[in-house]
Amino acid sequence: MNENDDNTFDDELMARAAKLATEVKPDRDLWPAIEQAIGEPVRPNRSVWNSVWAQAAAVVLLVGGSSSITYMAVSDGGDPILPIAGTQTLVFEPVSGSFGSQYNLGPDYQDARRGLVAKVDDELENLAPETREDVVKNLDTIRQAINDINKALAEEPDNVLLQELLLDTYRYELSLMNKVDGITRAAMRRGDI
Amino acid sequence: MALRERPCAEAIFRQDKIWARSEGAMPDWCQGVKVVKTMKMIKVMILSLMATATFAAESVNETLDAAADGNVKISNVSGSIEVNGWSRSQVEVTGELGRDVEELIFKRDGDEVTIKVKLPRGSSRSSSAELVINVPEASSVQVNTVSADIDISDVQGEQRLESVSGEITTTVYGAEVDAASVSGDLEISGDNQTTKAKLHTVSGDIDVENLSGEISTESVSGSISTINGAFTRASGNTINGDIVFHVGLLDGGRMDFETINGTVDVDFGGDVSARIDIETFNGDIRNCFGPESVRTSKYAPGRELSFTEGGGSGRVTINTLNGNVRLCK
Amino acid sequence: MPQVADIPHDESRWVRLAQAADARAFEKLYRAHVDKVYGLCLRMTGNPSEAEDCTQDAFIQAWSKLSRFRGDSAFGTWMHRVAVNTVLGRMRKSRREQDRIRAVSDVAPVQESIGDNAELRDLEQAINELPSGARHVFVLHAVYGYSHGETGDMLGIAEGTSKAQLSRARRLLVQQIETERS
Repeated sequence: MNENDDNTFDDELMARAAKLATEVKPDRDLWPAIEQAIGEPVRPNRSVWNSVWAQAAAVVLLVGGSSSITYMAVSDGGDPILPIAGTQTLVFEPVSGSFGSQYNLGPDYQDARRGLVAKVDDELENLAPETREDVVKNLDTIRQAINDINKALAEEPDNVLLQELLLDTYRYELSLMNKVDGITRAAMRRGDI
Repeated sequence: MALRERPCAEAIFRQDKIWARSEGAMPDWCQGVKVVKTMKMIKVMILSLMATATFAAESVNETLDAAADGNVKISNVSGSIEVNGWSRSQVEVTGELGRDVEELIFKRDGDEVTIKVKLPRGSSRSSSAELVINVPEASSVQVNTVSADIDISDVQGEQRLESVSGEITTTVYGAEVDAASVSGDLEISGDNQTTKAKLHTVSGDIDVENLSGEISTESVSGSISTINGAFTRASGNTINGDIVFHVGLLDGGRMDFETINGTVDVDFGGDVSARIDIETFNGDIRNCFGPESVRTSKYAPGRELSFTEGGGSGRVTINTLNGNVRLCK
Repeated sequence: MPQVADIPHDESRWVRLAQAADARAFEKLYRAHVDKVYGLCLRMTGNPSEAEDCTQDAFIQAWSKLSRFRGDSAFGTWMHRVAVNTVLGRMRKSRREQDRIRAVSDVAPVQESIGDNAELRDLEQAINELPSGARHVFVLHAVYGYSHGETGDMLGIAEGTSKAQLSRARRLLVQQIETERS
């Protein structure tokens, strides 16, 4: 087989490849499985909803047990509360000192936390979009868990399990925020020898 | 890189030349520099790809002598990193560098070999390097990537593996392993030797097989699965991820599992001797052996299960908010 | 980039509705694009049942990432990228199986997608038997017409690697088809 034949055949090959159908109908309808998978989440995980959830839960704590149901009913149908500072992340104010002296989420922790949240919000911009999305989603997951636990604690302030879980979850949040901080600093260092 | 090598390296960089390894080919403006005298201890190679040079990918094939049990530090952004242990006392790097890669640094300094893919500041994420690195099998290895997958085999020394979104796969042979990622999955196999493992992700799944000794696993939303092995210390922590531990608990050992919304499935695979304390707020507790769970209080949700099995020498605690717990042996 | 007139007027409306969690609108998008996504999955994986799973995963992924689609390209193009990412993601998950040499018997028999043209069928069969790296590049570049830069971007490889893989694919395909013919 000489060179020329090979070249001609190769060109023919590429021409044929371009002719292959790019659209192929699957043998069966795949929509039902997709519909089921996307219908599943009970809590939509888009940030606007999360903000509503966070703000509502925070107010529940401040207003007190008996009024909480009324408040939730009102906010359910109302306008969504816009995320603070236009970021995608959940923002909320943990209430300190209400749940027993078992653990300490006092003013010092809250100050430090506020500072770190703001810093991380800036740093999130430097992450690759997919990673940023993943981190934001997971931060929201953690904050949603904090809200869930706070809600339960509002009913049972003396529950030791809830207190321990809450403390550990705050630690998760701190650890993830520190991790974002670490990644951004490492990325900034990367250019050096 | 030592200070005295910098001017030489930079001069070469600016002259747009690739510095061949053999001393004879070294440009004469470098002759005055100490690099030649210290060649025995410090070998430096910089493959530099100037922006004005060809945009095609550049192939790499370089080897350096190395300590039989030294440390190899590897750093890359995107692409892939494959590390294989071999019986030679050399480190060999082969593979391809993408068009935007500024330099590949490959150097040895005594017991430490460094392989670093350098990108210009503010470069696009699509500048990748796909590298296959053979290292002396007794080496300890440290790998750091952003999105490149990390694949390690036959490395017997300590492993510290970190990636943001790359998948990390490795086998361990008794030395410690510390692996962390944000969204990449971790896949760790052992050969049942005793070791210490620390595996943390944010959303990546963690899959462990045939490890023994001590293990600490943590994820926010990834799932954790550890099977086949026996531990003196084991812990699993998640917010949403499911936790599965089908492993034995050694005498006097300790296991702690905590999750907010995930499920916990623990199966000792045989007899166990431990004091067991399980508590959930909204989840169910299913016990294959021993007593059933009870309500924590008459007026509140929550179930708990506390009992002693075997001689009670070990300790197992499981806490969840909403997740179900299953305990078997 | 397609002109505004080319995109069905309804499509941008469906996208907006789907982004607001309207599953009915998303289904319309699914119906409009499933054949192209399935075609891409099928050619990249070489296996119809794998391609079905891949297509489902891709749409499920697209649903959860919809907020990121900003409409600066056609939805179909964006969906293509999601499909490629899904193929690669699924491959990484089953990496251990991929390490085994792909037995010819693993490869499914060729689809009837293009009628009775024996030559095109031979080519399809040969593409299915390429090693995965070469196959992905060949499918995206030679069948779907993406440039090497775009192909590299979608697969997370360097442009040069894409060219090298294409050469390799062409060489292997020529060999394969010649062998069949003789």
